[in-house]
Amino acid sequence: MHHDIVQQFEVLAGGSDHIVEILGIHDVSVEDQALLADRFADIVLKRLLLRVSDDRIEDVKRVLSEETSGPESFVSVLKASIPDFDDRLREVMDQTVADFRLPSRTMRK
Amino acid sequence: MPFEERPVVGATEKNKETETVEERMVVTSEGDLKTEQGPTVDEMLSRTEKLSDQLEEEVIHRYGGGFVTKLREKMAGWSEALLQKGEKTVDWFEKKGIPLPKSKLGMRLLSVGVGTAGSFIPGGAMLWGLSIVLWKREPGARKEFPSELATE
Repeated sequence: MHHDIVQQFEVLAGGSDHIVEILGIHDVSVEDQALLADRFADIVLKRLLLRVSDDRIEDVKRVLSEETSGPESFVSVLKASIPDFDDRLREVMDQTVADFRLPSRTMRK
Repeated sequence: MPFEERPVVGATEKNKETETVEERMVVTSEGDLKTEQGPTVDEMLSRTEKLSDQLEEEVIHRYGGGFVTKLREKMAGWSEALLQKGEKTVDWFEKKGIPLPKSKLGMRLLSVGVGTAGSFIPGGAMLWGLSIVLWKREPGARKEFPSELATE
């Protein structure tokens, strides 16, 4: 079991570290880091959802409505439904960093 | 050692209304160097609140009412399932040579997960959602997605 749990923590902690880094919010309180990181994630995810092809919207809705669906299926359906996913993700991350009015420093190739 | 006992660099509490998130050195039009204050936490939150609401309206327009709520519920369920495990300690992670999170936020998440902090802080569900989207894109990240994530 435990190996998988460790991996899950790596995903969550790695994501947190990454967002704290690109927003440059190392020195604010942990509560504020959480608020800012969650707002950042909220905007990025919504923008990704808006880049889903029209003909795949029902697929995304179906995955979210399935009782047993997990994060893996969510990521899979997003990747399959957004053309050039990696480029779009980078675009959206950069755009969102700019919206927080901080320069993008870590999404460079 | 519990998370709370660990010294964290830069962890001093400050006034959120005046605390800026970053200072940068910039060159003025006269060619001088000066320090430029970044926005405060409140400024960043207020600046992006309207954007978040606007995007939410667009998502609802495309996906229908209730979709965003459902998305948050699902992500909250996934993250709670993980953070309630409480089966390991921070020391255990260290002894296994597993890198600890670098950020205070990452450490708080870890401490909740291992049971040394009672509950998480506001937000978190969407953060988990983005974390899994970013998975595999970090340099050195594992190539395989954790299989246990697929179950609730």
